[in-house]
Amino acid sequence: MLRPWEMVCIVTGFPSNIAALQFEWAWQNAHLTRKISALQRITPAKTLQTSPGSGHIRRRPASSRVYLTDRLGNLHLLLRVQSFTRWPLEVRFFNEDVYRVWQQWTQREAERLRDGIKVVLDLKRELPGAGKEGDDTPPSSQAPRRRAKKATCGNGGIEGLDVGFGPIREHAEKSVKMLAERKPLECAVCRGEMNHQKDLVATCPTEGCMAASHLTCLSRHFLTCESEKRLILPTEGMCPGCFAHLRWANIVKELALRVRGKKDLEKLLKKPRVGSGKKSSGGSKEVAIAPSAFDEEESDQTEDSTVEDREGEALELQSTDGTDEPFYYHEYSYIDEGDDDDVVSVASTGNETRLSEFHTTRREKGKGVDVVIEDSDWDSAEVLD
Amino acid sequence: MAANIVILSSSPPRPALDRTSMSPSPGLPSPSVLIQRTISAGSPRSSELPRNAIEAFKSGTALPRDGVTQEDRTRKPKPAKMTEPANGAPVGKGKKTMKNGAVPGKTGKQTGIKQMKVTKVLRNTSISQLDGKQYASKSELTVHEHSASLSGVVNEVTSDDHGLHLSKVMRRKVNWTPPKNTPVVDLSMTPLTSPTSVENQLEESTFDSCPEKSLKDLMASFGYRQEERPSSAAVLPGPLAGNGTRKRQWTELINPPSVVAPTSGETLINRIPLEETAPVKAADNEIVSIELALSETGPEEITQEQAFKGRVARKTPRSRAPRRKPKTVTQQATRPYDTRPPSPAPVLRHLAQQRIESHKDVGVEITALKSIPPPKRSHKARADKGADKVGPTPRRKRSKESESPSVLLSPRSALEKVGEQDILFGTSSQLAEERLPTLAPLLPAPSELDIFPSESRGVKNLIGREPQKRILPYSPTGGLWSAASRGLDGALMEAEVIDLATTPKARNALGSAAKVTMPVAPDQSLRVAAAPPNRKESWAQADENKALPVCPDDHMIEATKKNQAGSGPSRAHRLQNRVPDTAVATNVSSVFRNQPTPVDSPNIRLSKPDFTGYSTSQLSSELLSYGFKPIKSRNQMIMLLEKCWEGRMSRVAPKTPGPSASMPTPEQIENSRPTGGEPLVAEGPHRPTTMKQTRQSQNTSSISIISSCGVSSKTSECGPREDLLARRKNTPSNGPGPGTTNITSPKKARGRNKKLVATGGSGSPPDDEAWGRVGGVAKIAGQGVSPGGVGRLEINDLKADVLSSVSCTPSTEDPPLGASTAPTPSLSDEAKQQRRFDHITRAIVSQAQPKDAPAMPNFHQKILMYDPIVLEDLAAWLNTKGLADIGVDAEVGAAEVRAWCEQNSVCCLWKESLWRGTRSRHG
Repeated sequence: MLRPWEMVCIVTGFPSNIAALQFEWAWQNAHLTRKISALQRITPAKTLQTSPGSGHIRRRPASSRVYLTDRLGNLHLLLRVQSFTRWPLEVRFFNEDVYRVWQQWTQREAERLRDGIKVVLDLKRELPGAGKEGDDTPPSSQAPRRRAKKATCGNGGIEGLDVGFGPIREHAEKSVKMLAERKPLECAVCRGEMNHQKDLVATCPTEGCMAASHLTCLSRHFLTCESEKRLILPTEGMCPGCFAHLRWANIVKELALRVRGKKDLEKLLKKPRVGSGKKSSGGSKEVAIAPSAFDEEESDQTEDSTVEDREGEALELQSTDGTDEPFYYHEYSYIDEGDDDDVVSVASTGNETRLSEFHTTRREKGKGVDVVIEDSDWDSAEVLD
Repeated sequence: MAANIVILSSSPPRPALDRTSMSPSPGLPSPSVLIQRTISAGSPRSSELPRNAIEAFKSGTALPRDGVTQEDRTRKPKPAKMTEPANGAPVGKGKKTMKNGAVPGKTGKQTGIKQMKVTKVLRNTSISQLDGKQYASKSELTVHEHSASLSGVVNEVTSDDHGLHLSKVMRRKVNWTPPKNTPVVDLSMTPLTSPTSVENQLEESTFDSCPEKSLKDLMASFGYRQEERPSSAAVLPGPLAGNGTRKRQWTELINPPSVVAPTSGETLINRIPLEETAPVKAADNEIVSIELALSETGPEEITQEQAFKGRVARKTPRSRAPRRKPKTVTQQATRPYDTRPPSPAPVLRHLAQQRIESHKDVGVEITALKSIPPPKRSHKARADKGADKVGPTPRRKRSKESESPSVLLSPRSALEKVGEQDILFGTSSQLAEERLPTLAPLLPAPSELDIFPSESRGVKNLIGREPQKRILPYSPTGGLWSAASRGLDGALMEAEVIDLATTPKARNALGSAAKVTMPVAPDQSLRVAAAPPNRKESWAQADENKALPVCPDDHMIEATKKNQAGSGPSRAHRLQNRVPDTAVATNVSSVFRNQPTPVDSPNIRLSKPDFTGYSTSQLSSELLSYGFKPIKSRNQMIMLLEKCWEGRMSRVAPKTPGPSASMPTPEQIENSRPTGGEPLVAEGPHRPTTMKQTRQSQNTSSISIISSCGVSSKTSECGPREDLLARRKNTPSNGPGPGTTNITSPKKARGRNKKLVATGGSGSPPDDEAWGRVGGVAKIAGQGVSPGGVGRLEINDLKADVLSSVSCTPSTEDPPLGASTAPTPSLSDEAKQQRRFDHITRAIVSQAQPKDAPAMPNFHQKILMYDPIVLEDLAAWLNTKGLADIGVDAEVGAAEVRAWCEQNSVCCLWKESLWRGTRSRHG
């Protein structure tokens, strides 16, 4: 199925599907959401419409505006509102033009995003062997797709997103090993004794750091580092043991996997590391997480973007807020196929297709994606073209 | 048909019958004859009349009637006779020959009555024809009306006999007769009145009536009448027109005649003075009453009750017409002439008086049937007696004038009244909303303030109006808030309000502060008493001042105000000035708004508060007010607070002069800040530019705002506006961001924490530098009584989101009455919310570790792990256990919990979803 839009931006890092859905709704209904205060609201809640015939002015709820700048402005705003500002979100741009617009907007805005929110231009990097086939050629089989996925993971672009537990594999391994040693644990913060079976023990992801602490103690420590004693949810801080700068989300991610996703953890640990690469791309290969919510969200996004595209100009392809769920503890389905089928498929169904299309239209020859990441829709799309 | 009979006898000849004959000599039967007739007629009530009453009737009838008749004869032979065909029984009076045609229930009588009046009119002036027309047009009069008209005719006739009042009467009619007057038949009391006194008075009146004098007298009498009967424009027509309805009403009110009889004596007595003062009218009344009494004896179409009613109606209607419409402003306008103790709160007073009066009326009518000697009446009568006829004339004029306004209120006053009513009965929010409409009317009405200098205002308020001196409502500037601040009796409800607003801290300050002698309406309360009493310059009213956000330490607003003794700028000027002032204030506040200034009401205390006695939460809130974050250690908090307080006091202390009687204390000012005062004024910020212009032009007062952030202001105390503006411009905005949006934002405007401290050195000119040093405190100091004194307003606000307006009324008399709880609440709201949030946070953080943490994490752990929080569950836990565990006795709602979650970036959701019902998966 041909999707005439381009994925230009994605927001990732939502701690849960509910969080992602809330953010998505707020983004798409920036004129209605209560997350945005009236003073801050950019998109008017209501619009005055004058009927051409009678000239009667009607006040109607404004529809979400589809202009790129509005989208980006609202995104910027949402990332600043209290409801979301402390979430471990990341914004990834896959289009330079859009990223430029974002930068311009950011410069215009008086307020800045929290430092912890990463905004990156994540252009797809060409792999050495890529480009020969060109983007146009759809993969004829699943195998090449998987291969392509593996190859592209971590290489930028939507395909490069690693939505699995791969990145925390090492951390998880260390933690499991550390906790498995039956020796008494001492909280690095409160110096109290910890029981990893009864307590939520947070461990430092830094390699070689054996600091462990109560989750609550560590949060307090982090908040102290942030000098945000009044808040309850930390964002980042210093490891009490190694003083490394840590993101709270990473710690919690590993902890959640360890505490709630034992099966996943087992599978994660069971899998051999494919490549000892730094980005642990293998992780994504080995673990496929396909939360149902993710699918739903993806589909929603697709629909939305479709509508947007119909309404708006072709070039102003709106950024679909593809929400990425780095960890979803409750309902992930673990597929130990040794393949990242699900993840890839999920991601690709929505995003990759668009991306590839975008690239095909805009790229020069020879710059296409070498490894075709196409889902089954691509064939029909091509036919249509 | 007694009425008819009476009419016939007393009234001049019927028009239809005999116009010509009427004027010269109305053949009115002498009272004795009349009475005899009535007695002979055997009316049941004839017995009620005392024997000697006949004389009185006689004399009474004779005097007025004679006067009229004589004149008629001499001047205008035309007027129709009094011949009455049916009865044909003239009641002859000595001088006048009047035909007493008492034919009950005949239409001819009516016509005759009309005729009589017409003739009278004709006699007096050429306009008489008009009157005749009018009367003629009223052919449909009821019997009662006729009787009334007859009575009037009789009076005139009697006066004619002496050649006294006819012309005056006519003139009176011309002048006074409004087309339709209710007045009317004073049937009731006359028969009962003691004859002698009546006679005497009547005679006096009649004899006095030389044409010239009579005119004066007439006027005087009218004036008096007016007071009593403001509506009485036309003697004859009015009564006729309005009579019917009134009579009916009266009939209902009136009790059986038996009750009436005993009271008559009283009425007579009461009447006498009146008659003396207004001889003609009194005589008329008497005559009329007598006639009516006589008529009662006649056939009974009109019962005695009715007759009494008629009399009462005639007498009372004029006097009580205003009372009947107590809700209208007229009564209030006429009130100054009323001797009754004035009550400041107009509406309530009106109502109360109305009730009282109504009761009075009823009672009087029931018992005495007639003269309610309302205090004013008797009082006036006495005064008139003593004073002579000359005295009343000015009064009359006044009354006339007052009447005219009463009838037609100026839009301003009318609006004012309306506003007062609203205040009385409305909610504060309504008041706030409705300030706008009321303000406009207030603007054009500078006269009130001028009339009442600030000094007098207070007196006025306390004492009430002096009837003769002031016509204007007691609180011209007061507006809704002023009205609202007063109780039914007009007394200010100050004490409670003050306490509420100020809190204990304020009280201390109040003690040292200048006395608040005058009750001030809330809107006025903002005005700082520092200014001399005469000072007209009043700042924009501080009602909106709740948000006076001026950094305490950093900024001062000095209001230099011109003292004007008596002749100050008109109120309009003042108002204009106000707007600019407020604008300035708002601007200033906006500039400094963002500064985290620790302005809290507690800070202003003069006596060091005992922080040790504070609860931890209070301490934290106090710290918060100073801009500090709560500290764990209680001792540290106390120490910090003490330091803060000392620091503040050290600044304030040097500037605060000893207790000055006239100067309001800062606390007072704070207290005085009304929440909803005049909003328009508060909206000054929108017109900053105009302020300057107006200021300069008016030159009445200048307000200088000094941003004293750490630097003593160089501006002179009396610095003109320009200085202020310049300073403002020069002063860098300390706030991180411009607060323009905040200013405009309506929400913020409401709930601001501002402090106004008025420090007044009564005699001493304030030191600018000293003022500048004082930070964090808003001072409004008006120099006591000295003209040209400078009123300073120092306003500090930590987070001055909105600086609405600060109105400093320099007058000491205006005490900061307004319960200024409003300003504090807004800030306190924020603080409260934050405090609650802190409680929630504490409760969650201090939640005990679950035994089986991984499986069943507590809320804190859930939050730390980014788990969505079900609001209902969290709220329930907080209410049941969480808050209690931390020693907080409070409850939070799910919505509040949601707000907390949003503030903390906690993902939350409702258990009840929109589509699927209760969520089960996430918790």
